[in-house]
Amino acid sequence: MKFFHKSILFIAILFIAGYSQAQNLGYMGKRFLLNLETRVSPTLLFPNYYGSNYFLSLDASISPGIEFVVFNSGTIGVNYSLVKTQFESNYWSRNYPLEITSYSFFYKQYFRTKDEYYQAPFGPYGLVRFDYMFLKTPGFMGFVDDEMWGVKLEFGYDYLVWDRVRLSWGISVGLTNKMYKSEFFDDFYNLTNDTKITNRTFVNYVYNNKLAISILLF
Amino acid sequence: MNKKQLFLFLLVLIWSLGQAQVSQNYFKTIESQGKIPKDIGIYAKYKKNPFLQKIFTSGLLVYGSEVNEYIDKVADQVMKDQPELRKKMRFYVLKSPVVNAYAFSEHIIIITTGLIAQLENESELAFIISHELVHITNKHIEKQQKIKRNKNQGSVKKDYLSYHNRSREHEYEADSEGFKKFFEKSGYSLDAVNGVFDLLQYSYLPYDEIKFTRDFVETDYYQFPNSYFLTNVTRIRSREDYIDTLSTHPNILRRRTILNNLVSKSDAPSGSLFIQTEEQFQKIINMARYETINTFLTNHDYGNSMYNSYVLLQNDPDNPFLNRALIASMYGLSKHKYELGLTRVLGSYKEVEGEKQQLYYFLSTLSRDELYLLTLRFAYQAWKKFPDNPYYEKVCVDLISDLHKKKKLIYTDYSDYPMGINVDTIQVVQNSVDTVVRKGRFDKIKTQRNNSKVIPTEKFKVANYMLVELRKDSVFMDLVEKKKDAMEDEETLNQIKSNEFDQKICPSMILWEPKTYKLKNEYWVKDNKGIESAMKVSVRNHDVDGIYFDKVDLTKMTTELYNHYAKIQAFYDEYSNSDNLEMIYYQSLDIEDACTAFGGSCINFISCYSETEYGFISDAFSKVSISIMSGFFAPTIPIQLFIKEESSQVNYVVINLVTGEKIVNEGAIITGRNNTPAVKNFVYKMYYKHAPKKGDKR
Repeated sequence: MKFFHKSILFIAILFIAGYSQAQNLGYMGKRFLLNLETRVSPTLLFPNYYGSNYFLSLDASISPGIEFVVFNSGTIGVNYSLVKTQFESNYWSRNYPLEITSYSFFYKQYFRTKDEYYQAPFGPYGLVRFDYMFLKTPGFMGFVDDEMWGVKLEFGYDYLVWDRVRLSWGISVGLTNKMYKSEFFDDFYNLTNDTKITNRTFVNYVYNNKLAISILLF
Repeated sequence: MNKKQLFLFLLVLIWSLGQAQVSQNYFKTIESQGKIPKDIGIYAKYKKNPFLQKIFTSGLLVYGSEVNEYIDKVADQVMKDQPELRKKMRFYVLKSPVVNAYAFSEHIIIITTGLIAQLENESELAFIISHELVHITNKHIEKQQKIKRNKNQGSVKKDYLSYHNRSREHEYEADSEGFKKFFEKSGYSLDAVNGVFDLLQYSYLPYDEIKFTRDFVETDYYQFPNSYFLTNVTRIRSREDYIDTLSTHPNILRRRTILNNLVSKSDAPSGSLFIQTEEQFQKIINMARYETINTFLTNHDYGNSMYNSYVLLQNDPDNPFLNRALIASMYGLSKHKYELGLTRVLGSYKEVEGEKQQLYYFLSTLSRDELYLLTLRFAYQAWKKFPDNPYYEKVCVDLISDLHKKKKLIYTDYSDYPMGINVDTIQVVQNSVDTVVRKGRFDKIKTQRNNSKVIPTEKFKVANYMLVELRKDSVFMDLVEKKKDAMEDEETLNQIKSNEFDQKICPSMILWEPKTYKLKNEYWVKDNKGIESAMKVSVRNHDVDGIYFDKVDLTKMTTELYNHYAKIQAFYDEYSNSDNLEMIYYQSLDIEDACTAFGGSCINFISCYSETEYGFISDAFSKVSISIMSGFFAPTIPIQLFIKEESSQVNYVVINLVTGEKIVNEGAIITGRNNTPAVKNFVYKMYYKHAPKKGDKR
């Protein structure tokens, strides 16, 4: 939680520092957005929330956040998301629920700004995101917790409609610090439950499709 | 009546005649008078009738003027037996060169100044009013709208023909019932109906057929080649017996035949051509003609404005309005010819009939320099004739500046001797060598300058002789020299001038409604890009010192303010027609009062023209295939493929209303699939950079 507070503080500092340019930044002077994202990722034969592990089964989450225009072509923001899914446990080869709570901080760079009037927060963009994830799953002795972090790259497009509403889509790829450990090449290596959890989180994290709606507040 | 009363009566009569004379000569525009009618409040605000709304908010509608009063009296006479109908009817005048009258089911008849200008007598107007009344009483407009709505005739062609057939039936009905119900009993001359059809047949022609002669443009000092003039002009050919299947109006011959039959069978007394005085009629016609010339100038239809001014000047050569209109026409033609060509403002002489063709041919044959110099000559002479009118000086100065910029006013390029002179007979005055007084270098330079005359060479053409007598005029030569010096200073100043908006030049602005159009099936149609809302937000956020004029405010206006609004709207109309040409706008004349009323010396226009086109993949098969393939990975790619790419040309202009100078002229071409936010951003940034701010003490 400390990390999250620091992020908010960092954003607040940037907000204050950038305030003098308020009139000319953002969209007609408006710089602050409330976001609501829907993220979808393929489970890649892992079980999803419903335990389904067919080829087209998906993980989904809804993620609220805030975003703020800091430069002509750049925005920063924070997000919170909660993914509920399942992983295949070592215990009787059953699927167990897994909760992934993440707090993210991102920087978004808009590309089309050499066209003078295309500037944040609309147009094509690239985004770098840092996620800190808290993993939780029920175990024999209560809940098992773990933490990991990941970095993502996202590309997409933001459409601004009716001066206040922004519709976004994007695709992202990322890596986590614990990566993915495979038992494929080692007959004698059995993945532990912890590894299975982090693998499952990795799979959820590695590729996402995003659709979002935002409100340009002020 | 005793002697004193007679004396007073004569005094008043002479005074009022004098006033009438003065008011005609100093004609500026037909202005509305009296109380603002309720119709403006009803139709300007609500979209009950979009066409009426457009007319009522155009600034071209006139009420309460002398012309309106005249029409009302004619209408009173026509409807003298139908007082109930008369109470409901309202008549307005529209400043338009189109020869037409419009009837609306809302009991409104609008008559254009173009039509009034072509009338020969009062009876013709009475017949036209009678005709239009039948459209209203017999509900033709509603019936036509019903036909339009019921498009179930089987095919587009059937729908089209059905609409036009019914329209022609209505016209026959309006002619015959208008004659029987109203015109026959009105007391007007029944023979005038023929005049109305002549008017319709020849409505496109100018007010008279007067030869355009060489004397008008030549002097003893220069003559244009014979090839600049047509030997014969095309005869006026207008047909009255044309095929009218595809027309909403029957052919004129048929209509004339029917009406003549009715006239011959009519028992009514023959009536009189005028019921009001002929003098009053002539005054009204003149006002309408001058106003139509005004409209031609606003629309940059300089061919028509020039020829009609020329025609009317033959009977009234000292008329200040007509002289000004002539100079304005020539000035506009010169500017267009140099920068953009004459096609839009003059048209081809081959499409013109009658004596007007001679003028069109002459203007299109003149070279750019010749036209410029000819205009300069006319403007300078007008200035000498009317020294109190600052317009002529402005035009002269502007033309001289342009000639200097194009290096077309080099002293030695112009002859001091008339065309055709035998050069050998010219005695060259040698500067005498004064052995008594020693002259310094600078004295010699000044003496040389004053004494030098330019002898024509073989290379000299007509243009080189066009300033012969003006060069003898010291006022003219001073003006040329001063402007040359001023231009050199301007060039230096421009180099050091910053791009920052100077609030001193424009302390406050009138913000005009933005114009946004998009190209649809080769036509420009109104678009809603939300620029108006962007404008309002920008003005509020940047605290711009400007007044946004909302057309809805017409409902709260006084007549005085309405006239000012009409003036500024006319300025905007001219600007729209100017193709962004740098020139003194005709409508910038007499605009100071309007500026004061609206509290702004500058006006801000925003325009946006958008065209759409598909992106790099235009066929449906490719789009569908890519959409299926992208599917999961990029679900919005199909959206990208199907949304058209749009390209918008946006312009932000700030013009000084009085001088016509463009203070800011910025534009951008913005492309993209969702370029509306970028367009609005442009507007927002323009107000940030180029608008006067409240409380700013720059």
